Amino acid sequence: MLRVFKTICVALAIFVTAQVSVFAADKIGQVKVSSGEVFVIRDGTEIKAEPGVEIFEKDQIRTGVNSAVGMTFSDNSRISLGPNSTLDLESYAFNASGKQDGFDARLKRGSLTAASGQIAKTRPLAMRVLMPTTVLGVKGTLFAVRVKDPDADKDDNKG
Amino acid sequence: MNGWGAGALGVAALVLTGCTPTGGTVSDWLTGEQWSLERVEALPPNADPYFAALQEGYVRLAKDELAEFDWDDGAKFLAKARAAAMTAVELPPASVTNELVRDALLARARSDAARAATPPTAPAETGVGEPFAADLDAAAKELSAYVQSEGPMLRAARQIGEVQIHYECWLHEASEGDGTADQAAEIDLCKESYMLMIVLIRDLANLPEDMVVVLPEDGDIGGVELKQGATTLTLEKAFAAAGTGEKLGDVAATEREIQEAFAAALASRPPPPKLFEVFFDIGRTRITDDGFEQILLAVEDVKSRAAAEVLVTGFADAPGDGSYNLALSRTRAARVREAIFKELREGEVPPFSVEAKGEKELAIETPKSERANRRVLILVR
Repeated sequence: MLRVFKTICVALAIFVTAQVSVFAADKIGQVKVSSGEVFVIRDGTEIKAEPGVEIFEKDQIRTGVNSAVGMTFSDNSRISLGPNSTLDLESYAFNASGKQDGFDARLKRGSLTAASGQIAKTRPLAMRVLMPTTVLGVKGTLFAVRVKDPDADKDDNKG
Repeated sequence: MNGWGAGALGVAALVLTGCTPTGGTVSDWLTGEQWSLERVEALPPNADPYFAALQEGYVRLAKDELAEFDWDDGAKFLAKARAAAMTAVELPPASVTNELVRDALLARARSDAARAATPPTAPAETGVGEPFAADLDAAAKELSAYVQSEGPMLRAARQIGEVQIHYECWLHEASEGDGTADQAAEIDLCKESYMLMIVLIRDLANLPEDMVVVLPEDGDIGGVELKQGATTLTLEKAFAAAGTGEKLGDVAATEREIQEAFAAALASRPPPPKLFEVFFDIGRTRITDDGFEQILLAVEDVKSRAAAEVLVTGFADAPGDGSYNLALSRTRAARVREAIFKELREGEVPPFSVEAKGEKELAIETPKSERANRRVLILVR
């Protein structure tokens, strides 16, 4: 009897997992627009960020000179980066079991425009953009951020 | 040309006539009006900070010249002060209640006014010899650029007016250059003041390198909340901006500046996700003609996007058994998915997610039969 119960439990667990994985447990977004040199850095590996490339929590997105990228996330929020930008997707939770919705992206350098989605709609200020000295909490919905390249100080005398 | 533009030209002409030693009208000249420091000092300060700074500055320069019994130059600077005092910056009428419109009008009025004002005179025409001509020329170019730019005038109008006075002082002393040590000291004093202040202006006039701006959108703007240490700043209007570098603070920015600063990122924004709704008859899973129209629209949208994703979610209204409704919503979603599939060629099929909600998350919370709740949502992004 116990054995049967166990089997049912396992079957149920598989079923539940399967249901969840329909939404790909960790995929949080997708590259939609890309031009020039754009890379997704995941666990130290560079992936060329072409339209369709999937994005996961903890990914870093990097653009080069004359490059730009646009991404759409599972809560329908959108972020695009201009040239010479680095964005860390530090944490992301949307309809995840046991987790409060939240989205933290850190702009280390460069420029960004964003449209917030469901996360900011249901939990104001739960979508945040972290900058070197300032934290931005989103109420909704469209905004832009830029952060000076910390390594570009040398040619700062052009006024 | 609008009325204001004509007025501005008139003012510019007035300022220019002030440049000649015989500035002012004949009657002024006869009555000594052109040297009346008191009259010019009694004029109320211009409401515009740029012209107010010029007004104050020219009075100061005039005083210095008159103290040296240089009547020609004293009259020249007094005439300039008078012109700066009387330049009218047309404020938007009170009936214009929209703050954004008011701000935009004010910004435009100022920049028009700045353009119409005397641009720093090119030193070539004033007989300035080496070694000042090149420095003055570079300064004139930089200053003119600021005076004629909307954004810098919005952020640093007063300071730009002040630095223009230092420039004119420098230009004036340099063009009077008689090679004496005293003269050289006076040139240096004006030049140093200019050089010190223009550095400050470069910081003030340019948009901060670290900044946040709220972008315009249809519908309500929620904006953003910025936190730096114990300081909190909320931006909640289109084009409201803040510098987020070492110190958090509001900064005025023009639409054009924002478009330029974020051009590449703005151009790479993915199109917004789009929602299509397919409604069903009571207890049915058959797609109606109206429903099929929505499906075709969704298919067109899928085809128009790079790397589209589709989420199909089925719903049922409340009457009936819960598990029956869940199954019903699942079948509805599957039917819609199938219909979209049929309209796409093999290479066009995007990643699909299909979900069934049964009688949960109703569009209209009612236990009754409700068409709005018998639906399948197609989200394309």
